[in-house]
Amino acid sequence: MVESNGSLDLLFAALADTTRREILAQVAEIGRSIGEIAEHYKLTFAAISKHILVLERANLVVKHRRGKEQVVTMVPRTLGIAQAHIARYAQIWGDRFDQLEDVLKEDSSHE
Amino acid sequence: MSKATFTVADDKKTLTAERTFSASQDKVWNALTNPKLLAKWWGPRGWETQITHMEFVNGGYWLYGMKCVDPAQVDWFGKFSWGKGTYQNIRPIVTFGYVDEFCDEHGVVTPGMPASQTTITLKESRGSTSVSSQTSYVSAEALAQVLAMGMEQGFSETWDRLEEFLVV
Repeated sequence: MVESNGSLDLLFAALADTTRREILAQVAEIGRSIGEIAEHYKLTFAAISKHILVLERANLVVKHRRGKEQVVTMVPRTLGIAQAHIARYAQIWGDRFDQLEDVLKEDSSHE
Repeated sequence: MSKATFTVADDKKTLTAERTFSASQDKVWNALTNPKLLAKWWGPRGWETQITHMEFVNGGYWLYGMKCVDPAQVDWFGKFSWGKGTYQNIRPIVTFGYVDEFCDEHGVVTPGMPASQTTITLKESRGSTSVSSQTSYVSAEALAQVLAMGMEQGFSETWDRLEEFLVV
């Protein structure tokens, strides 16, 4: 189900950047051209292209040709993988912290 | 009491969980490093944890077995899961790290199972202590395997969840 070819390393690296997360949010519901995406930023077209390439390598987005333009679209499944991992991590540590809280309370009632 | 926060760091490929407790740093450190206390809160809900070995020094390890005692967890009820954490970078009452691995009840590491590396850091401020846990996987393959194991429940592609995730 999950390809273990190092793509997850790329995935987390791709997500660990505010601009790239914003770009991803922009293309989540509808495909947008690189020009449309770049309008929202003071960055150069080349810098935006580079961010998109990082997202593309992580398989978070795909590019299609639409006439003369390239349209960027999100691959929801890939983000789902990252989301599931984070949810699982949050659950484990959320439960641990709740239980630690109880232990700390118990501990002070003995003093 | 405060709620935990979870973040993906902007500069690192790690996940961080953080929460503040109304207790002194000494007391929190003790709950993290005293096996009797650690066993009470380490395992997931519905699991009982026993710590059969603990040597809290750099290069030493703790060996823990968790038994599922919750009949509602049909696939796991009655089953054991063993883990081994090897300590590193201990700086008393401030920080320590450990490499967490799957193993058998004798502490023999299961080959081919994913290892993760966690750093715990404590910080006291006005009588409260924050605990942060920062985890990274030893390799991309390890992370992929952990993901594959947690994947059976499937994952949602809804916009809500995406937003929840993106706003970190």
